[in-house]
Formats: sequence, structure tokens, C-alpha cells
Amino acid sequence: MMKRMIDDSMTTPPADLPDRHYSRRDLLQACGMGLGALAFQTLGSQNVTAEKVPYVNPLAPRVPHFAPRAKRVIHLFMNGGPSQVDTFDPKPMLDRYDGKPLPIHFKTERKTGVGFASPWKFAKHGQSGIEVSELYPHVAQHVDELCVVRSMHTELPNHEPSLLMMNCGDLRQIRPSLGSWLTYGLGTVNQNLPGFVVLCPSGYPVSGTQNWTAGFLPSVYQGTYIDTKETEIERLIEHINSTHSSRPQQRKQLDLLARLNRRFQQTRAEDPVIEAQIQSYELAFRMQAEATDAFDVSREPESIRQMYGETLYGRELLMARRLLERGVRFVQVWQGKDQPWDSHEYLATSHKQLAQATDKAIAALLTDLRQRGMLDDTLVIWGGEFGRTPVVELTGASGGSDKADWGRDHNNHGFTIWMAGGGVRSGYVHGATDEFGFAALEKPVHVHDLHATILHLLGFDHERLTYRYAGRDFRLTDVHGMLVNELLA
Amino acid sequence: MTRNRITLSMLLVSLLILSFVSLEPAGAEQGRDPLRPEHRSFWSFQPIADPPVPQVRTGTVTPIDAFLLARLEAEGLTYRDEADRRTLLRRASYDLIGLPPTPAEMADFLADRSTGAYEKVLDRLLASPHYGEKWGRHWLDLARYSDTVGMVDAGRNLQAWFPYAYTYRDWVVRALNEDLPYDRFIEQQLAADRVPGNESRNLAALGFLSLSRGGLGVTREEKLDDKIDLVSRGLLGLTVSCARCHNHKFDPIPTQDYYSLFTVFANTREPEELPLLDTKGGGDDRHAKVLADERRRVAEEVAKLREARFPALKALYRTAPEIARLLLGVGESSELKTEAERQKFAREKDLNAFLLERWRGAIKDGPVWAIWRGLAAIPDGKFDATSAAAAISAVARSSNPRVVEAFETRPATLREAADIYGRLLAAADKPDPCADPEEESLRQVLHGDGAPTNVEFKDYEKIMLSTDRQNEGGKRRRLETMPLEHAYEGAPPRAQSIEDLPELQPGHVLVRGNPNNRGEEVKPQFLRILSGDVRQPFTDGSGRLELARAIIDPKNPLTARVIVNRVWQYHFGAGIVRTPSDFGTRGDRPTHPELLDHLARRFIDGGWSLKSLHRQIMLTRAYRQSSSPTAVRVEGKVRDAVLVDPENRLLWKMNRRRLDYEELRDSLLVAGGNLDRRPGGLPESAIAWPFGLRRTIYAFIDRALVPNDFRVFDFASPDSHSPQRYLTTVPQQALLMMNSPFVINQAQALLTRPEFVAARGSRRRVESLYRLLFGRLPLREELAAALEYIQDEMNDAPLLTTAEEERARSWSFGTGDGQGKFSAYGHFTSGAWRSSPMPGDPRTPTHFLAAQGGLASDEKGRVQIRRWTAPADARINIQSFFEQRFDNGCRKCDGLPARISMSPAGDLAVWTGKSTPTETRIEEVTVKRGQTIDFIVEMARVQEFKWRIIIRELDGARQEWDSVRDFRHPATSRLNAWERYAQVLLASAEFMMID
Repeated sequence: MMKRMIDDSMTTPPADLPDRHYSRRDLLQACGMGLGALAFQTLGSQNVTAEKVPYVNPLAPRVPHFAPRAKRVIHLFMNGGPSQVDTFDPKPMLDRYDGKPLPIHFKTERKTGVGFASPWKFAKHGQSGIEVSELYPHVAQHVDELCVVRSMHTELPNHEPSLLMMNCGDLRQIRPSLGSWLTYGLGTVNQNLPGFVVLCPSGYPVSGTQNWTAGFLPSVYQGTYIDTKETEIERLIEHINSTHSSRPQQRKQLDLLARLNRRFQQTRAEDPVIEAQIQSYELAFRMQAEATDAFDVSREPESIRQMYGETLYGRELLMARRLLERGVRFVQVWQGKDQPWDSHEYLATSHKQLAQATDKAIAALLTDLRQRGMLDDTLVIWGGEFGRTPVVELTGASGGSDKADWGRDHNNHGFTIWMAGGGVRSGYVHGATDEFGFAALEKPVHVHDLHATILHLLGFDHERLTYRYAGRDFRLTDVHGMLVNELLA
Repeated sequence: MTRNRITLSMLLVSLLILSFVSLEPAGAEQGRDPLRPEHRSFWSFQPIADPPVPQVRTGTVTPIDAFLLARLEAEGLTYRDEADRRTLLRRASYDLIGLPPTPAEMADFLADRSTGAYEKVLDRLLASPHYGEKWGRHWLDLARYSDTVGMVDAGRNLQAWFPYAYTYRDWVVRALNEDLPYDRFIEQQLAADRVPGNESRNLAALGFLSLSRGGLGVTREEKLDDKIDLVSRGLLGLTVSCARCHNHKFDPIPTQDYYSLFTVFANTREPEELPLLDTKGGGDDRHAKVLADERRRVAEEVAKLREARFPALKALYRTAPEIARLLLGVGESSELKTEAERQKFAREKDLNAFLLERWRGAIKDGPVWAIWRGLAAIPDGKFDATSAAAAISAVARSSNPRVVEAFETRPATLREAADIYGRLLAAADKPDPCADPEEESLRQVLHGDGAPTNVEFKDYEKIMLSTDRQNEGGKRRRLETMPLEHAYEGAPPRAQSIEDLPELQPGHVLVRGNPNNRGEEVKPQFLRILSGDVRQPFTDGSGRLELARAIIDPKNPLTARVIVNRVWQYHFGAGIVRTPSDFGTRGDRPTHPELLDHLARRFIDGGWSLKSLHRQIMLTRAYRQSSSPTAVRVEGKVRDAVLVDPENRLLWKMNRRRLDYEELRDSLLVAGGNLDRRPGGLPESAIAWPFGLRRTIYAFIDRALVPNDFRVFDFASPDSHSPQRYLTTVPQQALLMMNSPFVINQAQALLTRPEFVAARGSRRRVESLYRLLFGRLPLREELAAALEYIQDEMNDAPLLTTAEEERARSWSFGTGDGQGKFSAYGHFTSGAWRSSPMPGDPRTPTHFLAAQGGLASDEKGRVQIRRWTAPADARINIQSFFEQRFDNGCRKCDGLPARISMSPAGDLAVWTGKSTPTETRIEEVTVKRGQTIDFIVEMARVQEFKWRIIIRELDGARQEWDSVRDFRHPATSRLNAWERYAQVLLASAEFMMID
């Protein structure tokens, strides 16, 4: 039944979201409203708003404003802020100013000093000839699939506000995250798994759950955090395992439960919540099996596991791909807890370690998605909350006589992200920073613009994906954001 | 007809809204009067009327019913029949006290055939101390209650907690139980410290304002915004926060009004020492003294630190690069006229604004600066070596010759000129006066009286670096956690209060909400739309008491309407206005405007009594009707109400609802006979084992980490005002009911209740469970299903064998001193054994032991112990795999000392853990029954580790213990068929729903 519902509603012609938040079928089949019976025939003119109608099965699949280019998203979050001038934004001028004061300066979080040339060489790759540093030999082979945005910028050189900006479109206030907005807008196609999953090994990134909060949206749209260092399913999803009953025993319990609930339902036939409850137990029962399967990367063939690499990050990406394949809408993959990319010192070693830990797996993910025919409708996003300065930082060990100790400070003025698949223009470089890579200069793209573009790829007009809260129609981009047409294929 | 009218009027209203939306050009709202005639005539701003009670065909009814029936009858509808008595009692009981009726209460009510039986029930419930617990929780949703402030150090996962948030929660519960009139209730929460002759216990009410989200990344402006939002949406149903950056787009709230309220709250602060609630008890000498001593100690240390640091800090600003940066900054900002602009410039350029101003003054005259002034005067874009040369020679004669010498190399940019000055002055930075007068005049630039770098000690804070701030913060940290430790040690309760600033600050509009962009001055005063013709600024302190009185003024058209609507919503599931916190133009219109006014009018006239409002509502036929929507016959015509009014806006039936999280958890505890009904006090974990048994309102609420169980059942977000709970149905709820050890524990406990134990035979046992849980006997069909199930289930093999259970019991978890002492961890939560039931507890270092390993922390001299106790004499071998967790980018991380130690023999193996696994084998050991083997990690630093241990018995049954496989939630036990059956009943829709 659930399968049929998915197929049917997904073929419904696109319509304006607020007016079609729930199709009649969704309600009939996936169950309706918490308060009394709702007239299905009047739904067409209903706005579902936060302060109005509490509802049931908010995760039923929904159609966006227009035909989407991407159906799902994987966000490879390089938390801490990777340096653009060492990865995807080559700056030969910086070599000439190595160790000398730059003629330009922008506010940084800490004290900074002279120019700091990248320890790594760049080379052109692929047909597009996009330059990538030697930190990413494997990703470089996929350069013709990438859409590299070199002119990103954001407001502040501090992790917390910039993380919230990148994830939730606001520097400080608790606002729904991108993944929550998408899950709210699209629902999820696999009711046996959460719609929005956040993967991070060993703990939380800086700002923790705020990065994937549902804000004022119903809490079901919040990201489900999974600690990928865990291998036990129970620690991945709370209460997923029965520690008291065997599966046949539980089946018998649920059969009895359904029998009692059906009897209860007889005199309350109109109430969709009772049906929803009956279904929710069946879903939960299936989820116990399906979730276990989805997170168990050991079920992948040896060759695939080899391709991703037997590393923590490889396992993380493989898990992510298994989730995407099973209909999870948005998977956000953090490289590690806290802020691994925050190389204030020892950049030459730490950036190298960090890139090495991920390069092969990211390339494998792109290959794997392509081979499965999923890349065309899966949007892959790579990037951090900001970039790093082209100048050396002058705190701690950094800035001394030994260049191996040098690091870079936070830089919100200019940084690089890239996207692939999901309807983005491939083999393309967008915008540019100044000659030192300090600030976005040509075609600057603010995080709000990136959000508007991502929503567009998923089939939403960012100005129309709204939610009424506290008397106002909120959106991810607030009152900002411009769709960047040049990024679209 | 009515329906068409609704539609038509809704259409007109939306057209109205659309018309003034589209007429408004972007950015035009500044300066334009946002109060327009259509606002003045908007329904919610009209005085509360006293509409006549309509005549209805349906005999004698309460006034509320008359208003409702008038609308229903116009549609050819009427109420459903009265609900059966069992349903009615259950509904009333959950609605008023959040708990199900006891079997005795049910039996009494069913047997009481007197006319006043239902009224008696209402009296009993309204007098119950549990009433305040249920309705207090509703209020806490609105007041975004939390026991924690927020994250203060993400790297160390460190939270800040409010030490005495609970006193606010308890004050709310008590005030509601005492039926404190709602106007007094509000007055206390806004201004308890200013109410004349107030009892000190009422200071706790100020938690309403003080329990905002704080911590990392939350600015002062956001905290103030939170208070404005709380007061305006919560008490007035107005979305004033929308006017933070510009006039409200839809409602008559000018941005000046926002900043009038902002000014009120900006003139308050948290007192350094929270006031005691009970001043008669003689206070709290012990804790107060410790705290005072610590404060003194920290103040002394900080003073010493500053004195020691001051010379170095001053010297830093006398170095060439710093001088050059500031000079250049002076040059680049010379066009900026106001100090605010220059401050903004300094922030952007990362310059010290205080010193920038001093340098600006210093260069104004004197021969040292003649060249600088000449160079700085060169227009933008004209600066080059030639123009610089000209400027220098023009002033060379009136310049200090040392400066002239230094400028023999002509600067090509102003930056180079600044560098030259920097080097020159830094070279003249000598401790003692120079003989050479020219040299000395350079030295005076840095050391003379009033020289920019000759900062006085009193200005230390203005020049300190962020690292200095961090250092001082480190010294204060202990001071910050101390009040919390005291509170949780049971120090006498204090109020989480606020107080007015001793010196009031004038208020300003912050243009576009930007704290660095001050606009026109504003007075602390009430909202214009609600103030009548003459608006007087507040004059008493911050103005909170006057604000409170303006809100509770009986002439205020919103306050009473908003609260009676909320109460209505909590009873019926939907308000008369279905946007309970938005009575503005964007909110819904009331379905029954006259009824809303009738309720509000009676509420005010009757002395703002919430209990009497409940009584009025619950005595209506509307409330007492059935929730089943079968077709009804009115005057011979069958009308299907579902088709006429699908959303049940007219209340032709009662709304059915799911239990909310608190009701569910409390009901499970009641079912298990476990509910601890003690009121108030410190919060306790609702999740950790050993399970807390108190009502869920007393659960510890951590806004940074709302537990899974709360979240999946739509608990209100503790971060901001929450007008209504969602009531979703998702599979995670089912997972919880199926697999949560807490739920299973209650199912097991249910079978230990005397009623069940006394029942003989399966049939009687089933009947006893139905009576306990549902207040009725099972139907024939239900009984048959139960008996079949029990019969069938008996044959199933349990999930766990006895041997598996015993193996799990061989392991214990705790800490020690490394010398053999062992103290077991007291709590289990989030899959791990811990010393605190609350993960993130700032009072205790975070360390834990879980299935696959654990987390050590930084506690010198302490160890973590996973202990295995031999269940019998045996010969065993041990295999151990130890590794540190992979840490991204971590250097110097290797080296966590670990060992295996046996009592009393001593260490069997010792090693230092690394991120590459260490495998250890101990080939043969003989143990006696009860002898222990400890697997020990030294708490050298915060470090996660994996550790798997396998112990094999070499003879006999050849049992095998595996630390990962054997690890279980401590509440895990085997269930029998009856327990499994009881669990099904707890998960049933009948248990979960209120008809």
C-alpha cells in the first residue's frame, strides 16, 4: 500500500506547494489530521500553517513547484573550513608574495601576517581543464562533472554563525536547516527510513544539532543524527532493536495489537489517526529490518568497498549512498566532529591528512552514483562553512620561522565550493576571487544565492517555499537570495 | 448560508490584505504611519463587547452553548449526544490533571447517579494538586521553559545550566493551583521585583523573562528579541518581533514600538547573586560563604593577572607593525565623521577602536606629524613617489628632522608611509628619556602624558586581546559552575530573577535591526495601537511594572481574549481563533467572535479566574458531547455534518486527540503503579536508568539535547515560544512503544499490581487489566483475542536465554582510584554507563563506558573500570583488543594508558593505547568464584577508545563472555507471555487516544 501511494503521488503534476501540501490521496492513505475529520474536498484551498493545524504523516511524499532536476542531495560538509587556495582556487600571484605583505587585507578572526603560498601544486585536468591541487588526485579525475564556484562569500569569520548560515540561512537565530526545508517540501519516498539523515563520526560538529534543526517546522523534519563510528544499529537509531522480544514474538504482538486497534476503529472509522497508528506499527516493524540493512555497509560487494576504501570516511560515504538509494531525501556527511578542517597551524600536514582521508572516497562516490544512473538526479555538494586566508595566521605555532608550522585563519570573504550531478552545469568554473584568493570578486555568490539555487534544482522557487510562523511566512533565504542561473545545466 | 458567509468574509479579508500588500512599495514603510484606519477598526483591537446571549431552539442551555448552537442551528446541525460517562470522566481527567482516572474514581462516577455527579468530578479535579502540573506545562510551552541555557563551549561539549529554573516551574504550578488571578499571574512574571509589598517567593515568577536561550552565538539583541516575542505573542497574540528591522508589514506595529519594548528589557539584567526565595529561613550561610570566598579569590587573581599583563600589552601596541596599522587606519578613516562609523570601520579592519581614536587625536599637531598630515592630505588615487616627495618637501622645515631623515626614501603609498613611521617610532621606544631632544620628542609620542600608547590601567579592558579575555574566562569558569553545583546539592531555592539597571540607558531604534546602527531615540512605553490617545512613557525603573499593568488593563482588548482562547484550545483541540499567538491581520478570524467576547468579558468581570473558566467550558454540552461523527437528524432531516463543516469549526462533535508526551509517559507510570506524585523541586532525567518515576513536568529539559523520546512525540521546542503542540503519528513513536526499556518496565510492573496478582485464571487476569487500564471489562472478542494470544505465546522461545542473562550480569561498570577501589556508575543513558543521568552535565566530567568502548576524561588519578566478576571457580583465557578512536587532524593524541588487573594478584597486562589496535592475550588464569578482573583505562585526557574483551572458560561448559555482545541496557530482562500482552495493551490506540 505504501509503495502504491508513493508512485501515485509522485506522478501528480507539479503544483504550487502551499496549495498542495497534501494530495487527497496522501491524506486518505497516509492518514489525515489530528483534529477531527478533515474534508478532503476542501484541502485544495487550505494552507497548512504552524499555528493552525497539527497533522499526521507529515512525511508523505509531495511534489515541488516545478519539475525538479535533482531528487535527492548529498552534502559533503568539510567542517572547519578548507582552504580554497590549496584545493580548487589556484593563485600564482600568491607564490610571488610568499612571505611578503599583501597589498590587500580583509578582517580576519585572528591576527594574520604575510602571504602564504600554497604548499601544493595545481594542474589542469579533464577536457574542461579546470585546475585542481595535488591534494585531490582522485577527485581531479572527475573534474569534468564538477561545477566549481570560486566566488562564494558569507558574513562572518567565525565557525558558529557561518555554520548556521550555510545550513540554516541565518547567522544566529534558530531557523530550519536546508535539509529540514527539503524534507518539509518533498516528504520522503521511503517511509521506513528517516527523510533527512546526518552522518558524523564520534560526535557532533561545532554548533551540534542546530546545524540540522527543524527550527519552527515540526520536529519530524529535523535531521536524524547518526554517529558513523558506531557499528551497532541501536546506537544509530534509538529503539530500533528489540532487546526483549524475538522477531516472531514481536510479529505476534503486532498482530494482536492490530486486531485490538481494528476493533477500536470500528466505532471511529472516520478518524484517520487510528489508521495512521495501525500503519505506524507496521512501518516500525519493517523499519527495524530495513534500517539495519541500510546502515550495514558490509552487505556491499567487496569491489565497491575497495573502491570507497576501508576508511572511516569511505564507510561513511558508502552508508550515505545506501541511504540515498533507498529514498532518503537529504544526507549530510560531516568529515568529523568539532572542526577537522580548522588548520590554524600545521596546514601543510593537516590539510594533507584531511584531503587524503576523503579524496578517494569522494571520487568513488561520484563513480558509483554515475554507474548506478543516480548522478543525474542526485545533487552532490562539497564545501565548508567558509574558506581560509591566503595570508599566514600569527597565533600559536603558526607564523614562526618553520613554514611547516604555518596555518591559515578563517576567511568569509571568499571561498570555494563545488557541486556535481543533479542538474548543475558540469566542467564549469563560476566566479573568481581576487588575485590572492582573499575575497570574491567576480560574480560573487552569497550563501543565500547558493540556497536559492539548490532549492531550484530540487524544484522549488525559494521565495515560495514558505512556512507561516509567528505571524510571518518564513523561507530558507529569508528576504535574500538570487537564483544563479549560470550554475544550471 | 453561514458557511458561505465565512467564505465570503474570508475572501474580503484576504483581498484587503492583498490590496495593502500590493500597494506598498518595497522600502517605503520607513517613516510612514503604520496605523491606518483599517487597523483601528480591525476586530481584535476593538473593545471587548458583552454580546447578548442568542436564543436557540434547543431548550435551556449554558450561554456558551447558546452561542455555539446558534451557529449550528443556522447550518441545520446540532450537537452529538452526550458522551458515555466513562469517556467523559477520562476526558475531563486528562484535560484537567493530565492523568487517567483511577479504577476507584471510575467506579464511583459510574455509580453516582445524582444530578451533580459530573460537577463534583470537576470540583475534585480542579482542587487536585495535579491540576497545576497539567496546566503549568501548557504555560511552560508558551514560556519556552528549559533547565539549560545552551552550549557555551562546543569543543568541550560544555553546556551552561540555569541553577534554579525549577523554582520558576514550581511557582507556575503553585500559582495555577491557587488560582492566582490571571492578571496577577502576568504582573508577577513581568515585574515581581517591582510589585509593592510582594512576597519574596514570588520573585521566582521572573523566570518567565530570564530563561531565554543563551550561550554560544546568542547575542544580547537576540535575548531581548526573545523576551519581546514571548511577551507580545504569548500575552497579546501580536507578532511584535516582525517589527525588529522595519515597521510590521501587516499589523499596526511601527518599528519604534518594537524598540520601546526593547528599551524596557534592555534596562534589566540578571543579578550577580540570585535572591533567596524564602528570606525567613535565615538564608544559606554555607553555600553563600563558599561562593563569596570564591568570588573574592577570582577577583584578586584577575587583578594580579592584569597587573602582570599590562606592561606587555602596552608594549605590543608600541611595536612597528601595530603603530603602522593604526596610523594607516587613521588615514583611511579620516573621511568618517561619526564615532559609530569609525567603530564600524575598526571592526571591519580588525583595529582597536579605542586606540584608533587616540591616534587620531595625537597626529593632529606637532612637528613629528607634519609629514604625515601632508601625505594624508594627498587625494585618493594621486599618491605616488612624486606627489609624496612634493608633500614632504613642503613641510620639511617645520618637521622633526628625524622624521625628515626617515622619509628620504619616498613612500609610494600611504601604507608605506605608515610603515616608515612605525619603524621610526618603534626604534625610539626606550625606557628612559633620551638626551637628544629630537629623539626624545619621538619617544614622547609613545610615552608622553596622554600619548596614544600610554594607556592608563583603568582602560585595560579597552585594549585587552581576545586571548586575554579567554584567560580571564578560564579563571572565572569555576565561579560560573559553583551556583549550579550548590543548587543541585540542594542549596535553598533562589529566584532566577532579573533586576533593573541601576543607571537607566536611553533607547534607540536600531536601524534595520543592526545593533551598530543607532537611529532615533525611543521611550520605554507600551504599543501605540493599544494605548489609546494619550501614551505616557514608563517612568518606574525599566518600566516593567507599567508594561505589565498596560497588558492586564481590563480595557486592553487582547490579553483576556488571548488567554480564554488558549484555554479553549487546550480543551477542544482548536481555538476559537485558530492562530492562538497571532490575533493580527495575518491570523485567523474567530469562528465565534461573540462567544470569544462573552468568555473574555466574563473572565475579566469574574476576577480573571482560570478555574472558573474551565468550569464554565467543561459544563457545556459542547464539551460533554461524543466525539463520534455519525450523521444526525435535525427536525426530520438527516444532515451529514462532515460534509457541512469538515473541520468541525462549529463544534458539532468533540475532537478526539492523542495523548501528548507528558500524558503518555505519566500514564505509563500510572499503569505500572509507579508514579511518584511528589510535587516540585530539582528536575530529574526522564530517560536515564534508574528510571525517574516523577511526573514528566519535573523532567530535566535540556534545550540543546531534547531526548529522542520527547522529540518523536512532538514535545514543545524549548528554544522559543510554542503556541500549540503538533500531534503527529510517526513510526518512531511505534518503535518507542515496542522497544523502549521504560515502556517494557511499566508493562512488567503492571503485572505486579495487586488487582492483577489477586485475579485467578486467565480470564479474570485479562479482566483485571482492562479494568486497570480502560475502566471497563473486555468485550467477548477482546477476551478471545487475549486468551488465544497468551496460549500461543507460551510456546515461543524467549529472545534471551538464562545463560545470556547471567553472562550480562558478570560485567559491571564504574570508576576507581586505580588502587583497587571501585565505584559503580549510577546511571545508564544513551547506550552508556555514566556518572550523571544528564549527558553534558557541566558539574561532572563527561566520561562513560558503552558496548564497544568508552570515553575517558581528564581526571588525574582516576581510572575507568569495566569489571568482570567470575560467577564460579574457573580456568580462563583473555583476549583484548584496544584502540583509540581515529581523530581527524589530531596530533599528539596517542597514548592512553590501559591495563588488565586481577584481584588480588595485580596487573596481568599493561600498555599504552594507540590509534593502532593493541591486541593482548592472557593465556591462562585461574579464578575463584567472586574474584574480579578489571579492565582499566587511566583518565589521562578526554579520549574515546574502543575495547573488546573476550573471556573464555577453558573447561566445563566452555562459556564465552564477550564485552560487546553481553552489553545490555540494565533494565533488560526476559518477558513472559503476559508481560508481552500487557505491553500490547499499553501500545493500543485505546490507551493512546482520548475520545
